[in-house]
Amino acid sequence: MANRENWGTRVGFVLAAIGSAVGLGNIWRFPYLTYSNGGGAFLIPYFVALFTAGIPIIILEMSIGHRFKLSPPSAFFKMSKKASWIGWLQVFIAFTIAVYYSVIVAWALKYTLYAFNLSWGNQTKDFFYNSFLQISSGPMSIGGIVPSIAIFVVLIWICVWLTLTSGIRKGIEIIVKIFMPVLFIGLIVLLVKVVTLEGAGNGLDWLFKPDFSRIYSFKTWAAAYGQVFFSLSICFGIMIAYSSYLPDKSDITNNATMTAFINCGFSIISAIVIFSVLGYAAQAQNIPIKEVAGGGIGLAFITIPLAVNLMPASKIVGILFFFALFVAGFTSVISIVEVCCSTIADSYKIVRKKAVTVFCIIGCILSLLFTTNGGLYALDIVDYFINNFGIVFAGIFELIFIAWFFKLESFVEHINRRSDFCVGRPWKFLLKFFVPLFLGYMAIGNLINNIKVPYESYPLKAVTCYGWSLIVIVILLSLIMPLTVKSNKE
Amino acid sequence: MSVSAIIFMILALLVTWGGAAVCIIIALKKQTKNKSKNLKD
Repeated sequence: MANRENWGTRVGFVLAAIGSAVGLGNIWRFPYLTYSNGGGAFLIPYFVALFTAGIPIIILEMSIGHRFKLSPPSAFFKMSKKASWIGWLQVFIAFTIAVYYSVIVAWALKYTLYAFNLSWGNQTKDFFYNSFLQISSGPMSIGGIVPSIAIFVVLIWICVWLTLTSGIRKGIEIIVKIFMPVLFIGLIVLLVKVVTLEGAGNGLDWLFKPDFSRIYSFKTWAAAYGQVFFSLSICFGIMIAYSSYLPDKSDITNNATMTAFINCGFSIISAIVIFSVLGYAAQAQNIPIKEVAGGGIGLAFITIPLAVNLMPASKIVGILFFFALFVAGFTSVISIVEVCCSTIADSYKIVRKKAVTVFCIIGCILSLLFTTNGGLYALDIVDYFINNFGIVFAGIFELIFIAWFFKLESFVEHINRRSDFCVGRPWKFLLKFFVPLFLGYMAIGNLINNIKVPYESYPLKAVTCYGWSLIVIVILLSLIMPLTVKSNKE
Repeated sequence: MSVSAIIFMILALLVTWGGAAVCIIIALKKQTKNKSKNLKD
């Protein structure tokens, strides 16, 4: 601990935290979620969720990392010898996400190169599924590795390895100090370019025009809390790991609040860009916007390329968009991998470079599963289960343990002694009662829905293989790993 | 674009980036205060 590296500057830490939080979901999930949950009216539950759940949890996680200066399992062990499994649960969630997220980042990088020649052609759907992914008939037909994607996945892991072996100051901090301003400038340039397109105003109208009737629907509130939760990189160890490298005299609450606001700010800018493009595409093709509006992988790799084809200066727009997607994804991947590497280094007293190398090799090999012909199906199921069960339950366990079994008051003292903004009773109330109850409701709701009908009506075999089995394995490993750590026994 | 859409778009940008700006200003002010405190010591 005495030799633990620190962030070089406060700016470096905040940019890294923002880089971690700002990811693919900000660009392809938030805009469609807003549009389909009441438009501008959705911002009400969204900001309520930000203030009542997002910011309080980020503050807690940053204070855990800062106070104990250890990776999640070791930090939880410090709080209670019986609690390190909660940290391990977060690490295995991070591990799972790193494995498939790196593949999507590789897709974004490849599409950036495609944008130079608009190589996706006019049949963007056919190109994505057949030429690019070479998709199989279903999730149980794994097929073989698609070499053109696998090469880029290996490249991404090499870049992650180079970043993390360089350390916190010379690796992560330098990368985020370059990439985050580049991402911001790129999105602003894109925004200025697309918001003036014909039809953009219609798109923005569809996005922001409020439908207040949706506020009375619980689903809208659940969607808002879910988006804030998944968007802020909380409950899977990142903020704990990153803030463990903060020097002692560091603010916590202002850093946390800044991170949350800027993350949401990126979501808003992305939404303006996306819906300006969609509005333009709808107008250009003379079709209603609901025929083009969508979210997720389909939006990014099918709809946007189609829209880009129709635009003036299409190659520039295409390059900017996919490079933004790549940068947002890459800065998130390095933070996710950092959780795992710092855990290996802290728990097994291994030199950082060795821990990073071992993890990156394992991660890269496992990522190749998602570069197969059936990889997209596996990715979709794994992503759904790890987010809606893994992260949600990790959040519940973390909050219940700290708020009910550990001294939350001690965190209040720790935070207020060094922070610009103080926390008090409202913060404790939210973490002790409100957020766990809401998360519990979400978790039980997800459980019931998925028992009734398999996710996206995938075959039960596929959902069992990639989804439920994954959750069981993650939980089992979380319970077993504490037994393998020598210092725990001592 | 409708008036309500414009209002909500501006509101969204103000809350997020405005909030971030407030946080940054507070951080910079505290940094200046600490620097002058160190100089006095």
